[in-house]
Amino acid sequence: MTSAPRLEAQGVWVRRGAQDILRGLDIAFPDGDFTIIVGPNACGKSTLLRSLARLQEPARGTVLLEGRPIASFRHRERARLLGVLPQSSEAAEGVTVSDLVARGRHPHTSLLKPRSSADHAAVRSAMELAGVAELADRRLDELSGGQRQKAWIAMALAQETQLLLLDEPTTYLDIAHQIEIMELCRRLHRAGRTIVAVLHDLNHACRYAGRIVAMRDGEILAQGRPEDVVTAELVEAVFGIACTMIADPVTGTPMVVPGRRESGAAGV
Amino acid sequence: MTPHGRWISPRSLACHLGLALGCLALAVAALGLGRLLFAPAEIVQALAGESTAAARLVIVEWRLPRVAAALSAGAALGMAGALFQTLLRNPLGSPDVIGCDAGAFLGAILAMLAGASVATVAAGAFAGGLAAGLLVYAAAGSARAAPSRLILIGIAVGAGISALNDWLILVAPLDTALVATSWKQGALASVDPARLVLGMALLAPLLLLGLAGSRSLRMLELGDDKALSLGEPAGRARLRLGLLGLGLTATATLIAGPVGFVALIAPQAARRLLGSPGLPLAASALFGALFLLASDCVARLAFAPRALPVGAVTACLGGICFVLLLLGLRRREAMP
Repeated sequence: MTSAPRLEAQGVWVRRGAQDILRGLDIAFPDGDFTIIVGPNACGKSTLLRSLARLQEPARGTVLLEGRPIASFRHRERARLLGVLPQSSEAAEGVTVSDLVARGRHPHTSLLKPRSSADHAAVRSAMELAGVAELADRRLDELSGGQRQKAWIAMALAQETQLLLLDEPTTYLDIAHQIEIMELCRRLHRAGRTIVAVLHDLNHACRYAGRIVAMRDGEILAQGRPEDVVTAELVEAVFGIACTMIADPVTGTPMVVPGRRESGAAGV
Repeated sequence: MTPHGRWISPRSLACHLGLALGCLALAVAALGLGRLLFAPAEIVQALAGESTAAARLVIVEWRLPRVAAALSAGAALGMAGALFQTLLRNPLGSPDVIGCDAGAFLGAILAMLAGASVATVAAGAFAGGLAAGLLVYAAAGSARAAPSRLILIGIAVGAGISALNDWLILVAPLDTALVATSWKQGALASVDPARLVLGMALLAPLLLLGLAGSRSLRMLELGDDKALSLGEPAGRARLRLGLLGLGLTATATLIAGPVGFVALIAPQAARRLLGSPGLPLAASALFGALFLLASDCVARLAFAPRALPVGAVTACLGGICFVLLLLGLRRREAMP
């Protein structure tokens, strides 16, 4: 293990209007981790990811990147260390996949330092890694949702950052594409990147994550290896549903099978 | 820049060169055509100062300022349109639609009524454009307001300012009113030499800054979050490019008056020519220059000896282009 974590949140507090979205969160992401953050809608998991990537300024607390407050980095400098794929997916009409991925080189280039052959090589290998090399000349608006998502991931990969943050990368995708994206994350993780993803599917999270972080109401309820922390009690506490835990028949990781709510709200 | 290692794609290069050559050819034609006709060789002689006094008077003193005014105001409007339409994510979000040129013109008239110098009139135009932009921005609520809301408010603000401009011209002393009226209609014929020189001097750095902002603009196209994640501070970039767009609009207004439709049409036409994903800044400027010069030639020559105000011609040509754009859009959507 390395000494200090590469990315760390200390007492991060985010408020929207009168509501506290995050209540003084502390969390660290050591090098080489594959962390998946789960939790019900509006639990603050996306807000946490956005705060970690400086897409959002916390009201209190700090985010440390390589031991330094993330706000003290210049934007371009930060973008060479930390890549993030936010949820929004607007794109200029008619942009091609290769053009989009090439925009991932933005923090490495400048007006006086235009793209070099190294930049083109990075774009090429990002497209190959994400499996969109054969779509290079296709327009983004002609692609399926899954292909488009892979193109966006390729753009973030072209940034060549050690840290990669993904906000719900599989939402709205069919199961084949969901698996493909998760396998891609696993490959990236094995190749040495530190990955943090927000995910809705608990079973996917258990299957792929090295560490799971479960959130509710702006707080972290549990974190650790899926085998250690994902229990029926935790699922009940986080999502408010009763469930049965079994071992995933393929991987042996915990698998959540939702069951009927025993009592309480059932009859209302 | 293209993803395949070339700095510029062949198509883009050909379009930029074609537009630049088109501007040059049209400029030569505009200098040569009229009640007195001159061959290109005579024009070159006149520009070099080797012709008769009469030819020099017509070509250099009368026609050249007009051509220069059309080219520079058109370029400024084309680039301003590309900036605003990208920032507002809407092809209708050009500065003339949302009242910025009316605001710049108001500032200029007020300075003129006060009997100010050319430099102060220019400052008035900048201040007026900025004030109109801020008013629209503030009235729309916030930075996160929907662009369509901002555009609707801009149309209303623009209409209000135009009415105010008309009223000011009505109550102004006759000599000021005459100048302001021809200026308002975008009459390039009566372009004031001092205004033209000052405008062109302001334009050069603004166009260069605009081209330098191209990188930021390509990031903002992806949305603020993605721009930020790629290391482009979105809020700051928006402010910088928005101010630049206002500056370009004010400069164009200073030179040629509030000419409509150029900023609206040029970026869309340039994008279709290039087949580029976003609105190209340099090509929009070139197309704007070509479009305004062509409109001015039509205004001057089509019904000679009677001349039309150039604003009427840009509105006509622009209207036709706009309908063609809409038809093209519908055809593309109808395709499977």
